[in-house]
Amino acid sequence: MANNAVTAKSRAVSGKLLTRDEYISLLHKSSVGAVTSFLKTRPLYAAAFTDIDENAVHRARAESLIERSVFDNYIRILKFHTGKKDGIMSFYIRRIETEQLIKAVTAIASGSQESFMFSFPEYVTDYICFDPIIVAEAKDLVTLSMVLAPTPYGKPLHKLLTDPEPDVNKIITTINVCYIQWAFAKIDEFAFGSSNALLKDFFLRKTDADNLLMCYRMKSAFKADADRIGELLIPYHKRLSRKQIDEALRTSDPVSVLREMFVTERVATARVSDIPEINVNVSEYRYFRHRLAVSANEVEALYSLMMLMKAESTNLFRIIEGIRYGLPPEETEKYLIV
Amino acid sequence: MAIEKVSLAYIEGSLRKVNKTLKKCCESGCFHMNPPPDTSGTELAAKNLKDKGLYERMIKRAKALADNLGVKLDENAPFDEIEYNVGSDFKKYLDELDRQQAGVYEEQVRINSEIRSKSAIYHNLLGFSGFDADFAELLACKYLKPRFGRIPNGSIKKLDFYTEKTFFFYQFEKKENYTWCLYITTTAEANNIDFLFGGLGFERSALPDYLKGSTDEAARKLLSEMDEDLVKLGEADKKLKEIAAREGDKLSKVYAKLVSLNSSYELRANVTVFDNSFHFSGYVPTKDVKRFTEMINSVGDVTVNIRDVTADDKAPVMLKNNWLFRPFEMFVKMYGLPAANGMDPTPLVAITYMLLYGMMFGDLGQGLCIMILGIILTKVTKAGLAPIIARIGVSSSVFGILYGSVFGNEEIIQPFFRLPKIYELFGYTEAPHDVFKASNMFLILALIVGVCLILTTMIVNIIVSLRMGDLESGIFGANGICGFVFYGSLIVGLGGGIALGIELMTPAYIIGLIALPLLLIFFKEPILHALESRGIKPARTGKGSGVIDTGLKEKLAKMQEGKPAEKKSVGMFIIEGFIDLFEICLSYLSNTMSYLRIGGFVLSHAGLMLVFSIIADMFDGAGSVAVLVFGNIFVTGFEGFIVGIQVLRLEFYELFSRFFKGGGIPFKSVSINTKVQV
Repeated sequence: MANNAVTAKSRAVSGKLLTRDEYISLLHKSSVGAVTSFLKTRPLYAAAFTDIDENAVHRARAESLIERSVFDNYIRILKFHTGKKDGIMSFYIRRIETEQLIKAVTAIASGSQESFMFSFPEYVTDYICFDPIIVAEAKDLVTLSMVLAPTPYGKPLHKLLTDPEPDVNKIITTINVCYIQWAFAKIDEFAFGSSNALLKDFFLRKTDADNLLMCYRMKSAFKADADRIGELLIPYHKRLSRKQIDEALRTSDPVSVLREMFVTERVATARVSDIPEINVNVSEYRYFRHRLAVSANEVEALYSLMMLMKAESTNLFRIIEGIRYGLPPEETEKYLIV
Repeated sequence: MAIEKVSLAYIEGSLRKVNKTLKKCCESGCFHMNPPPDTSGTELAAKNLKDKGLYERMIKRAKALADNLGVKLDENAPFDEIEYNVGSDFKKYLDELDRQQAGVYEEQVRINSEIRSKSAIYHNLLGFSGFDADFAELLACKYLKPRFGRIPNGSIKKLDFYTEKTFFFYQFEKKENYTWCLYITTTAEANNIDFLFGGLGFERSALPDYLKGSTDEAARKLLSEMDEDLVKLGEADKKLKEIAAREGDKLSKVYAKLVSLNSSYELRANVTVFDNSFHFSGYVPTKDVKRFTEMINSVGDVTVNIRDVTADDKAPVMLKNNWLFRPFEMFVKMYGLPAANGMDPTPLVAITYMLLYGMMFGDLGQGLCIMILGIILTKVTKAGLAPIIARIGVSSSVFGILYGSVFGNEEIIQPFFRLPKIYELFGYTEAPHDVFKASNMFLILALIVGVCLILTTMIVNIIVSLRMGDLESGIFGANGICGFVFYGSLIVGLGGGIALGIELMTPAYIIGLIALPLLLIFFKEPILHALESRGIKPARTGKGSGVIDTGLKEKLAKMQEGKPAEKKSVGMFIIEGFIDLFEICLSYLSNTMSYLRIGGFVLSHAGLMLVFSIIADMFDGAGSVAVLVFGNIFVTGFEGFIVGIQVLRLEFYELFSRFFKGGGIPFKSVSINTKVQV
């Protein structure tokens, strides 16, 4: 029953996602307030936006409410799950925890703890394993190491955080590895055979895309060498192996080769945009839309739904950003994941 | 099967009489107006009399005034006593009414707006309950900046991180998502702190600078001001109500007259003006021609020319049926109106619907209940289905007597299938105990009814098609003479052999009555071509062969204009012919079998009642009665509804598709109140 309930609920929620026509309508809104008014009428966002004064709302607040809506919808569906609350079904909470920890590390390393606290989604405080205020009050990474000691991140990060010359990128990679390891351990507890492999594939698809994106950025923006980039790769892959990335990095024009790899079947099946990441995003969006339609497994269904909802929130951020900076709708539309 | 005969009326006269003539047309209640002829591309200096919308603005104004005064307008109100006839009269009246109410209404709007604004401030203030300093003093501070507002509950925890910043933070009322709060900072730090709180989702409350005293004092003062405003509002309302009581009735009548005049102006769009005279045409039921002509002639300086409708005219269709059949027109209209030169299938639908429903749902008790329900619904509501329910209730009761079924009980009345002559005819040696034992009899009877209905509709199709000159459908179609001979002969041949033991299927019978009609259907195209080449136009419309005319063929024909006719190879002709023939034979079989459902529903009705009867036997006294009552209500509602749908399906798919030629346009008599009467 529970299995069917989460799957059915996930499919029902997916029916409330925004349509292409609605995106087009949003693209032509003239202000953040107009977008907010629109979202007030949408079932997935109405609860979070209901009390909002659209004349006073600003971009950061609107984005924060969109993220909150995604999280609230996830928690609402999770209530239909009768199994272990800290099992693989809590993947989305762990993911937010990972993202926030990475933000904290980056903020502490650059001495801008305020920015971390400023953007921290307060509604997740009760779900994650660290206190955001204590983390934000850490003056340096060594203090952070002490704060994180009682958490699952304490041991894996201790050495890196207490290093006199800490490597932030390596710390980020290690946090991501912690997340993958946690997910795989939970998947092994939950599923066997083909279902086990498929669920792990869900996580590895993101790892492949993240690795490629990191290589591309490190190479194009920082001209980092292959060895340095190799150190930062998450040591998990599905279709894009370490060897293939190495080969690409050692070519005469690695940026072009990497750029081309975004639209190979290894990472993206969609070739809809000149922007490499969009192709990956659209491929993932289509894949998970398909998985949600055919899946009978509750984790698959909920994971797929969350990927679709994340894509939708990304689209809304881009639309709001476009409106804020006065971009023409056609220009913003190029960045939408549909 | 009648369609009301109509005549075409051409009306022309002096342009100055056009309004009066149109008014008379509307009053006649029997005039269907034609759109104006297309004179573009001709040398005629004719133009259409456009609707000037003379009264539209005044109608809007009357509506606005009614809204202000709270008067409910009725466009059907009698307006005989309103003496205004020209626009200036109406304008003068509306101006005067506007003058009377304008000042009061504006005062009412202003007070309402003030109350709304004060109410919003009051509700904002309630959030700061407990604030005991003086608003005026705090807001007047030179070096301190107080900010009243609300902050998301989640952001309050974050403030612990900013303890070193220069601000004081006070919390007031906490609600589900927000906490009402005040933060005070210095003028120098105001920008930074405002930015910080803005980022945390703080929303400032609009508190005017005229507020004085603590929250409670300010709130009390606002309440007292709002009370005063409410008194003023009451006075304004009273004045408006007085005006409404004095003028409301007249305003409604003036509005009704304006609507009426405007609607006759809308009809002017159908009038053609030529050489200072007007021309328009329309259809009038032939029986009303004399009365209509007299009415129009009474206008003076106007002539009416009446002529009979020809096949080229696109005459509207008005169905004419007696009281028994009239409710079933609804089903016909649902399917589409018959062509003007076609035939009204309403009587056939009425008879077959009542017959089939009664056969499939025959129960004296339940039928009477349905009939009573239908009569009550007819009296209480205007639902088109209500009189049909009453009629099928009667039919159900009659068949209930035949089946010997009274609320599912088959012991009270002797059913027809227990009569010796009947059951012996169907090969039973003793009387069947119940419906289930007589199931073969019911299925055979269902097939006989089906065959009779199919043959009847074929005859109807032949008559209608030949009347319309459609030889393809009338003679060579699956529902034409050839189809009728083939199907009828096959049924008689097989039925005679099986039921009566008469061997009719001799070689001559098979060749002459079964193979020949099939061959004629197979070779219909070359035969029709040959007839066409000899000057006989077969008027092949494709109608009546189970195809609803959608006009697609005509469009395709237009598209094909100018293109050479497609030549069909002999091989293609044979393949297509065989496929057509196979489809026709298959449809005869499937359509005949479709009627088996009649017998099926007789059995299912008995089965359902048997179930409830068995359950009722499990209880004693009141329990048993309750089960039987519930069972009867359930079966009447559930099965009665399904049978209704199934019969409609038989009507539309098995009967209509054989003969119905649609495409008729409804007769709509123009009306003074813009309401169209069909």
